[in-house]
Amino acid sequence: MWKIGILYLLLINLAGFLSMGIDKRKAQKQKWRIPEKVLFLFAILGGSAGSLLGMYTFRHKTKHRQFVIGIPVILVLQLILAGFLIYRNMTAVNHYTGIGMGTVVTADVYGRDSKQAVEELPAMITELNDHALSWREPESSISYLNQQLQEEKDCRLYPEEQAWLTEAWKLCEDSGGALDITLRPVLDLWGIEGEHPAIPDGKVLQETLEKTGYTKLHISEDGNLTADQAGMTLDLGALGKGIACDKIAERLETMKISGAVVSIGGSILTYGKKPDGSAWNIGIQDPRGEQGTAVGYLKVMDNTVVSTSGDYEKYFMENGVRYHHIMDPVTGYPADSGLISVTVLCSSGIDSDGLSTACFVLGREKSVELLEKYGAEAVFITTDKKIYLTDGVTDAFQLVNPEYSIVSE
Amino acid sequence: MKKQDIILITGLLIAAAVATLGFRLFTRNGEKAVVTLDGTVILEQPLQEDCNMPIRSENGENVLRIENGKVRIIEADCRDQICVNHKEISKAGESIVCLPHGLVVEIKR
Repeated sequence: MWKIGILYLLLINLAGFLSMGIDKRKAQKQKWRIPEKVLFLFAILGGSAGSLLGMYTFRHKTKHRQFVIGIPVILVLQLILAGFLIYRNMTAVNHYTGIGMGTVVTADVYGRDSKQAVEELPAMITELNDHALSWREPESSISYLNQQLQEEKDCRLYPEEQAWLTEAWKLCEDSGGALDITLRPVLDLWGIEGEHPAIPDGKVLQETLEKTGYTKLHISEDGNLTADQAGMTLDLGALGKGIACDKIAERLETMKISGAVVSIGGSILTYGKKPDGSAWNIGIQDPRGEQGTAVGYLKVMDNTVVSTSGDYEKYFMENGVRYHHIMDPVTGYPADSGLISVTVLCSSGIDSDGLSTACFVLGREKSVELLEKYGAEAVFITTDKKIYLTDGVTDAFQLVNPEYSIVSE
Repeated sequence: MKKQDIILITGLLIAAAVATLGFRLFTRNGEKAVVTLDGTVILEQPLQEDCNMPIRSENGENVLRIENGKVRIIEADCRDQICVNHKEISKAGESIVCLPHGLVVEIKR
């Protein structure tokens, strides 16, 4: 499309230029002249620069007031119009809001291919969810692996699966088990995502915990997945949205996209830059406020995935006590580490997601080392509404809700 | 170039600038709430008219209210009530979602 436009501009300006020369020649030889209306027409149709150049190169119409004023004016107007259109094109944003991976997906994409990127997004996420990651979808890879694990059968992993599971296992290990990808049976027991969540019986909970434990899973270097016992279940729920962010970033790299911000539930990808080059403003949900209200905003640059884990996403109340969905793998009870939310920033999506869950379980003090190991930053919000920031984000966070206060150490 | 010419040119340029600005300002009105169920648009309501609109989906019902150009979901029979607890929206790009019902309310220009 662009190329046709440029070709047209070259031709029309050439026509404008030549028309001046030809008309001058005809004037000298007293032959039939190009009507003045036609000379102006070339200019109006986009050839004004060529016409102007032609006028002074061939010294034609240079004493003719209409041309001396008119042609430059047309040129200036066209330049203004062109500048306006280019600005519009560069700052044009394509937006998407929808549902995917069981949560809200929104995207703002900038750049030449932004329309195409936005059109592809829902399908990409559904594909990733239904065919690969979701343990809920019977056709997914994870479901297949779970079937095999139920019967303690060995399974070969596809390269991508192996990459995900290896990284997931590493996160479990590095977090000392605070993140555990085998906790599905415990979550099912609590029924948090269902209609009737309830505190499980102590004995049943213990028995269920026996069915969990990432240390019982082994991934060999050549891609074999084995388990020490039958009945284990893989759940990448804590990491899936981060994985999706990574895949989306990969896809955007292959397209002409100058910048994008994509949010999948609590995992937000910032890619590239905004048209004016400024940092992305990412809001952190107020854990006790209305959905859509922020505690504060983070200034985020370039390619980062911002993941938040909080006790307000999925929970139920009983006797005034909140029971949320982020389980402590040791107790089988919702993690109680003094936090109501933690937001992690990391360039890797799978790491960002995994770390936010792990840090929520570990609590603030025990998280510091883990975060450093992965080159990640974090914002911790405690039960008494205090906010702690890691060094890398102290300057990037702006508080907007006066009910919370930042603690500087 | 005579003085008249300069006046003429300046006048033309000012007229062009005014026209451009005016155009940009006037393309901002007409915001509406677009309601989709499972990805299909079922309703478009202009924000200028107040209304209370019940929306029935396969899994339940939500009630949308538009008042003074602001949009809320005031009632829903979903378990988590996240849509009801969402702050009111009024600007293009903002949205409220009821996940269990597959309902998305988005404000578009």
